[in-house]
Amino acid sequence: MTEPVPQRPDYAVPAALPPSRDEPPAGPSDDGLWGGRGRTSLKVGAWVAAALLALPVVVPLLAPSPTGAASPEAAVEQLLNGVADLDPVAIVGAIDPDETDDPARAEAAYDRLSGGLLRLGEVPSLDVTAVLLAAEAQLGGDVDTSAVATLAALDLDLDGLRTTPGEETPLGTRVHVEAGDLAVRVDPERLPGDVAGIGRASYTMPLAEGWLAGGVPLERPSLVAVEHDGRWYVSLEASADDLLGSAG
Amino acid sequence: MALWALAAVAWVVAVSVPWFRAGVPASTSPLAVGELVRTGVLGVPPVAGYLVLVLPASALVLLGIAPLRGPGALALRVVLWLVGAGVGLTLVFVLGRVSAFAVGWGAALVVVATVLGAVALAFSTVRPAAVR
Repeated sequence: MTEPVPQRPDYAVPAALPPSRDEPPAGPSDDGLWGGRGRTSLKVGAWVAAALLALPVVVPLLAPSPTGAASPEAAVEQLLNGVADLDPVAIVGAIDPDETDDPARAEAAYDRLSGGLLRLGEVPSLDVTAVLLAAEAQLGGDVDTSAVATLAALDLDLDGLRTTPGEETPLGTRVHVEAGDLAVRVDPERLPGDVAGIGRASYTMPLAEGWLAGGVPLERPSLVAVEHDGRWYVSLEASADDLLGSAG
Repeated sequence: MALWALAAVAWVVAVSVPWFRAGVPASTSPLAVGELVRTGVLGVPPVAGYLVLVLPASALVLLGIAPLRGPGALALRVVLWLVGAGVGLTLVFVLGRVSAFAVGWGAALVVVATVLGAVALAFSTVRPAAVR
């Protein structure tokens, strides 16, 4: 006699089933971009790439270039080129830090210079004058969007700038501007809508001639540079005192 | 990952080039302004020069966390992208109000970086297929 074989349910073997596509892999895997070593490399690589990209931005801020210039003549040229390039960073960097730290002081000195220095000879057209007044409004701290937009219509070119080696004075080192032409061009197509009626215009200003200082013809226009911590800067106050006489 | 890298490059380059193509700021970049502020001028505290890092910092952290998965990483990614996009697009909007003509390369790069970040953000919400 044979004993009866006990009846057992016929379960499917789970291991034989294919893995569900919805289930994550059981553990770290060394294959593929998102598993194991590949993923670790990716994480490290991402931070290394971020650090390398940060360098060109962080380094200039940690060790900023010094302001000013290496010589009195270079300081004057940096200021005039900054004006021609409409580059506020170059302009501020070329002016005496004692004056830029106190905007009211710099503004008073600029007002003395702009009020006491007059141009002889060719008078710029009204169109150029209107745009230059917008530029001056910004220099006076009276910034508005219209003035900024108006300046976008202005192209300045400074050609042939030449200065003489500095000459010692009690106020600082006087640097004469021997030559240089500042060409001003207005492109009306760039003007904002609220500045109507200005046409295409241009004007060339010879920097070395045609000046009146306090009503007296100025033979050799100049600016005064001063030294701070081994660097040279243009002093608006000393320049105004030198050209127009002491304010006090 | 590649999209985040491109967005980070665009955001970093954006602070290194002028944001105007004409007018007073056409010759200078936000980074140059930050560098000048760091030297201590105009009575501005030198530490304010680091403000220029807001945009690139958010972009670079986004690049660094690009390989990370999970809800925490996704939330951080969304917040950082919103900060970068918010600051960048606000500045571009302000410049655009001054003069549409004046808006230059820096502003264009910010817009490109924001769009790249948005696409990368959308991809980062897609769960990758299981490895096997």
